[in-house]
Amino acid sequence: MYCIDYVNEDSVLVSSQSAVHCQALPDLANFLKHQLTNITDIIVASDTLLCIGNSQTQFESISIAVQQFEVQLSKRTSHQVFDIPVCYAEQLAPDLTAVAQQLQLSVNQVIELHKQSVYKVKMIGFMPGFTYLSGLNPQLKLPRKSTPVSKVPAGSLAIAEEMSAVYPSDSPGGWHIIGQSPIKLFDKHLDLMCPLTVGDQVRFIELSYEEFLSYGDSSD
Amino acid sequence: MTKAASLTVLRSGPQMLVVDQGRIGFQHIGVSPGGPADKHAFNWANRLLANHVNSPALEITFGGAKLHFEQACQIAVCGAEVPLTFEINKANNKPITTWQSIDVEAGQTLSIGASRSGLRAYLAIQGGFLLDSELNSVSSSPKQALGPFNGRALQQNDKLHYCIKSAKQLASTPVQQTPYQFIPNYKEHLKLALIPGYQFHAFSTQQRQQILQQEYQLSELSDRMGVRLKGIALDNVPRTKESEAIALGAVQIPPNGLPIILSVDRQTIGGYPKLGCISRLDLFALNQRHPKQSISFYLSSAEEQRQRWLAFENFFN
Repeated sequence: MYCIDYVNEDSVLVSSQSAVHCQALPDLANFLKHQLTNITDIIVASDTLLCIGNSQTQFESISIAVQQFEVQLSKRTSHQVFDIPVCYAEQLAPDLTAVAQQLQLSVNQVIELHKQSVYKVKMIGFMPGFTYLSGLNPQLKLPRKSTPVSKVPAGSLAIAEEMSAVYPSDSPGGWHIIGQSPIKLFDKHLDLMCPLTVGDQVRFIELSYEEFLSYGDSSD
Repeated sequence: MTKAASLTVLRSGPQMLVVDQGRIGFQHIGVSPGGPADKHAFNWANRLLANHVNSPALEITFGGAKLHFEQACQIAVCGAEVPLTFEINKANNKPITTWQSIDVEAGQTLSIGASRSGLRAYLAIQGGFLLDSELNSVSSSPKQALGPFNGRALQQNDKLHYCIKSAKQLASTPVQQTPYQFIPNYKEHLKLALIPGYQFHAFSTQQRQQILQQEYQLSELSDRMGVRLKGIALDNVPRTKESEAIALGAVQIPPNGLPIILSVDRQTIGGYPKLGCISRLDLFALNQRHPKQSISFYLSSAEEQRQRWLAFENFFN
């Protein structure tokens, strides 16, 4: 069951306490985008979806569309699996040794545990393209740093609490940096500015330092 | 082909941004909408010039700016009460004030003094500024590096272009004024309509009463991202929950118990408990308040505020 609440003049918050319904929120977002005109933005998070309309939007139409979606909830589409190349080399991983020490693991164990998991895009926000990935191995759980670093470089592979992420651009940040990815998770010059969508699955593919340095050089 | 003239920033003041209605449609990938902190004054500036409602204008915070116009044009400045003077041809000029259209001659320099009341003045130009849009908008967003000049606030010697109008075109546009009943008094105590929502019911009856009964002061740490309030802090704030999308005007209560009202440059998701949202017309008025001015909340319904909002939209569209 989805609950629908109006939060301001043009936005409706759709929420659910059922795991099946929460998992289907990204599909509901797609469904609403196709079913309704006058919707400007839909933001999906773990157990809620905010649907923002314009002054022409009829709230009732959102409510009806949500009910229609519930009826066909069983016929859900599946999401893509996305591979993100990362390099865990020391030069690119300022916090990796400290993380291993805090967790009482070896550096290699941290790397293995990190790349074994299949992650899920839980939400996108904080800054353009910042993708929160759930599914971090519980053995790697650490609180955020007590003092955030003023500049985390773009591409930094990070972990904190139960999540992992890749910083899409330079920014301040309090997560632990355990590597770097050569790919951009937000590029305003591309048609698809952000390659990931909430609900997608993500795997990290390890690159050696040499592969990282030459990544994207091969002209095929 | 239309010829373009340039406006040169001789002094930018503390913060001058280009704004249009904002960057709509990209919040799902973490892009904040931005746009004018006060759409009421922004819309009036464009309306006085018969511009499209989405014409780019300048948002000048605290005043203190100086602008040079290469060619004759018509402008309007609405919002904060800022003293306006022309530095060249002073003698020829009628007194110039805000909330009306202003004829500018070629080569004139406009000085915009420090704001006496209100925070943000909007300067629109007839026909709009000529700018390339990024993600469907020309609004400056310094944090996101989106908008003109890679999103940064305008600086000395920056140039913006506008269309040259013929003498005949300019002569045929009479001066327009905003009727006085539409000009807000930014010095007044402001009451914000709170639409209960999000985690409103997670707050105790006593906590809700405390919020609705007390007067808060604006903190000097307020900005376009959020307006922070000072007052008696709430005790035992409900726990932070799973992050969720933040709607415009959301009132979040962080663990220190003092509300933050999320504004146009808000981040798109967050995890602090929220009482609901304040009405957006009240948010615009709030964004014109100086630090230390006082505000209070009253409860209202989404439907009532939606009717107010629709009337506003219909008026300007």
